Amino acid sequence: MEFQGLILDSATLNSFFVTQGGATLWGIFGVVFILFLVVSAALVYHLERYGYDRYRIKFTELLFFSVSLVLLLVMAGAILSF
Amino acid sequence: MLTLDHGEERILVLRRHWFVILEHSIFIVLTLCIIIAAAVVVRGLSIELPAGNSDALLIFTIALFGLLAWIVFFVGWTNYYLDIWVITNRRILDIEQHSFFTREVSEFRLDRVQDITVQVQGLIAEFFDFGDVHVQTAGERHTFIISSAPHPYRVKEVITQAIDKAVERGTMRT
Repeated sequence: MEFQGLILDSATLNSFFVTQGGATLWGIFGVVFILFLVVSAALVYHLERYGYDRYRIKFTELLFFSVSLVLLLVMAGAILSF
Repeated sequence: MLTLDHGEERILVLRRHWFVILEHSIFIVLTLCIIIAAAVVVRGLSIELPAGNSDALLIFTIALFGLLAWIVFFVGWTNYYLDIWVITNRRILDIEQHSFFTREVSEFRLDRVQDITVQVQGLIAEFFDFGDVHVQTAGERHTFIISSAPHPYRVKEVITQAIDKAVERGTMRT
């Protein structure tokens, strides 16, 4: 009986999705975006400082940021249409 | 960036064999495939969301894990790319990128080299021609290992020739 409060009934679930669904997805997006910024900064720092081949470094950075940007835009688009 | 001394020539820049990064990629791609398959199966169960678009949620999930996999792959690739051995006509530089912000640079002169051993282990290594090159030196750190070097026997030859040429030129102290 004491566990009754933990069981999510359909009304609670419905209410959660209506009020918090989009916000939760934006929250996840924000965390991933911050992670992406931190890793990108570390990656660019290492490649620029310790890399040996200018052309390959620039190509790598361009590829990394292009694909990441597409995936971030897809995520944002999916949240907007959620 | 690598700075060479006056009169020093770069003979060979060596990275681990491409199979190392392929191995790393296969693991990431497999993980991503499992996640996508699981998401598609869940969608196939036709679970109705009380509110919101389930297709959008599926696309969001796939893009999210895709981005995380992409980041993990590039972190691995950067470590692979920055982990190198440089063989010059005077010394061997061992630059090891263990992870972000953990880097070890060691070098030893060719005249410190005492013995070079090649170790090719396993069918895949034999087939793709890569293996470990152990360079034994007279220094404090006795053995340097070039892990998963491509064409290890050729690498051994290059190092041996570099030592011989250095002896001929008399640039070594021996």
